[in-house]
Amino acid sequence: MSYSPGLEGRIKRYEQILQGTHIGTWEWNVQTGETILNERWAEIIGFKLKDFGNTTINTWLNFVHPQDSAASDRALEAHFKGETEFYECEARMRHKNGHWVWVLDRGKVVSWTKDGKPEWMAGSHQDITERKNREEMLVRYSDLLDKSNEAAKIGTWELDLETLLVHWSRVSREIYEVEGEHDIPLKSNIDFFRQGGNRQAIIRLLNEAIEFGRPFDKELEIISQLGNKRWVRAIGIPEMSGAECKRVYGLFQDITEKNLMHQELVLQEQQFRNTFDNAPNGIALVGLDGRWLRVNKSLCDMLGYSPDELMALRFEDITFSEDIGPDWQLVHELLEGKRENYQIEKRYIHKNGYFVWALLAVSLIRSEKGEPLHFVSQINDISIQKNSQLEIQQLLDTTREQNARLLNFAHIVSHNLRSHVGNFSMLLELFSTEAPECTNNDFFPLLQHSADSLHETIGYLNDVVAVNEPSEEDMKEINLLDFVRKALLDLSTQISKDKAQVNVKIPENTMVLGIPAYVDSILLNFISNAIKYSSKDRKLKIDLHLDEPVGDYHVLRIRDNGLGIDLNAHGKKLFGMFKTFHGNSDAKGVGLFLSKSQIEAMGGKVDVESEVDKGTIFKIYLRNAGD
Amino acid sequence: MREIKRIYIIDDDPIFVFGIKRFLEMAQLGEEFVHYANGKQALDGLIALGGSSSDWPDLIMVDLNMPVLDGWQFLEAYSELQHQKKPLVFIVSSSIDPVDLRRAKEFHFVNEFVVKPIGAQQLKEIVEKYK
Repeated sequence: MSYSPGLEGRIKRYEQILQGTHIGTWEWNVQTGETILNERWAEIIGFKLKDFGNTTINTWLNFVHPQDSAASDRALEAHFKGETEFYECEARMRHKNGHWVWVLDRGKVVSWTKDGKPEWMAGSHQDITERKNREEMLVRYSDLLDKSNEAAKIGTWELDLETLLVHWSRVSREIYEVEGEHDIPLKSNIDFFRQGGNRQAIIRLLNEAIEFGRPFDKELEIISQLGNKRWVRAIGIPEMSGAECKRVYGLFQDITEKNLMHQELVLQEQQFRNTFDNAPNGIALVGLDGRWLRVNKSLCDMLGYSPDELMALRFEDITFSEDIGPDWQLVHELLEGKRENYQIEKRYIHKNGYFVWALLAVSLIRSEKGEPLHFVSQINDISIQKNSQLEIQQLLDTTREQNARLLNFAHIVSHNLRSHVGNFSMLLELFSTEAPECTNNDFFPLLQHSADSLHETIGYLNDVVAVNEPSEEDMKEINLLDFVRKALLDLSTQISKDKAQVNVKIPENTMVLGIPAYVDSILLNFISNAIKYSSKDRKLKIDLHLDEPVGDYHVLRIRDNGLGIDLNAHGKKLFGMFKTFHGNSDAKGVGLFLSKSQIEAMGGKVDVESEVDKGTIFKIYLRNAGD
Repeated sequence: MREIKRIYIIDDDPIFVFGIKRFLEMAQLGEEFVHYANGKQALDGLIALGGSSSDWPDLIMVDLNMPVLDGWQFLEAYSELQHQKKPLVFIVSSSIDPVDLRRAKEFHFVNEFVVKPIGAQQLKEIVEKYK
């Protein structure tokens, strides 16, 4: 130490000042490493000076952040070389509690060795932690702002009115799709805006900002450097100094996507409106209270009202009174969440007073929270279908009635005819017994024959009349194979006489639903027909096979190799009454008609395939009694 | 051995009545024929006789379709009559309706359901069964 003793008082004073400024001090002998620190130096990092014991340069080196000690060394080096007047460095030191404390370390060589090396150096430590933290936060915030701007595609711009250059932020440059960081002349910037209205608008807005200090916020279209069309939101804020504008700055946001979405929504809305307005069926939005919210043209046309007239009415006003109740019932079920939609046929009342039959389909629209908003109703005019349906029903009723009358008529006719023919036969019999001499002529046998034929015909008529729609109780489960066997047994005499070959392929337990007497009669009729109309040129073969079931039906196929029928000539009449085709003397033309009636009465049907001189196939559909 | 002497014919058709009488005569069945044109007349006749009378018929042939009181109504009323003699009862009708046939079976005293027309031979065979 080479301080002169007269300085002591002054030093004392300075120490007091230093204490007041809260500054830590240090003195360091660069050559020996000896170090003198004050109490505040230790206090900055949470220690008492006495905690350190003998202090050396290592006391500093122990606490300084390794990264910062390097920077400190460089600053010292520069100072020692005389490049800087003061040594200065910001460095972190470890606090006693473990955290880092920023200090501003400053100092100056105060004495030199004889050979010109730095000897004593004196300096100070100032706690700058708070300032440093603020700085760091600022950097972070600024970074955050940049990132948000980038995410929101918001750029900034600034127009310097002296140079007429525009400065763009990075995001702004990206929006314009311009490379490089240099500022742009105002004229070039304006040229990015689409020629015409957009460009004139930005010029007007800038002029107003500069002249009157009027800020602007406008959506405009630009063409980027690469030729892409973009919608931007340009915000301009003039900075005024008195009446004079010094600069204009602002924001610049890419809203292309937003605009496209908006346009798409507009388009969708338009499409929906077009669909709604021009739909061929009636569509309406109906409020929860039954009032129309919106109606389309088709609905107005259907009901004969103008849109305004219709909107003034509630749906009950134009619904036929009988149909209001069921409709409301369903509406309540919708509102209670019991169903999501409903469909009913109902009658509206046209403005001119007549009914309009409509098929109404209604769904309830709910908000995202599930609260009912309104109904969407689709209303289709089904008057034509409905009227023709009614007509058909009437026709059906009339036909039924006529049919019943006809049946009644047939009963009476057949019964009365029977009585008379019975008497006729009886009288002929008496006549021949009591006056046999009168029968020996040409007329009596003919008369007898006519009476017999008439009697026979009436018998057939009775059979036909007897085929009525049977009730379900009359239908019995019938084992088809058993019935076929029985029919073959009944016909066994004829079969063996003709040496016919009969081939039966029907599984056991094939159960059909039918009336036993009908099934008997049908089988006898088809099999005896096959025998009756066999070919004289070949041995008769009859197949009785069960085909694959069709729906709920068993299909019995009866095939012969007999004469066949010319279906082109007779197809339509085949099952007709009193139609015969082969000129056989015993053909009466009732069998097929009767069989067909019986099959149909049991809910079945019969198909025929035939080829002349090859044979005939009848397919008989009988209801399956199984399952 | 049942004797069939007195036969009631209840039918509104005179031709049938004429014919059936001749057939019965030819077949030598019965000795006395009583004709009633409907069920009412026949019923009145039987009531007039009284239940204990031995003049009751041996065979009643009744048609179904008749005016005033038809065959069914006659049979209903007949079943209520108290009488000692139990004659044979034939329904003789031109009806072939199965419903009528079923209904006839409900009258236990009805012996036959004969469908018109009927010949002399057939008539004889049927009656012979009950002799």
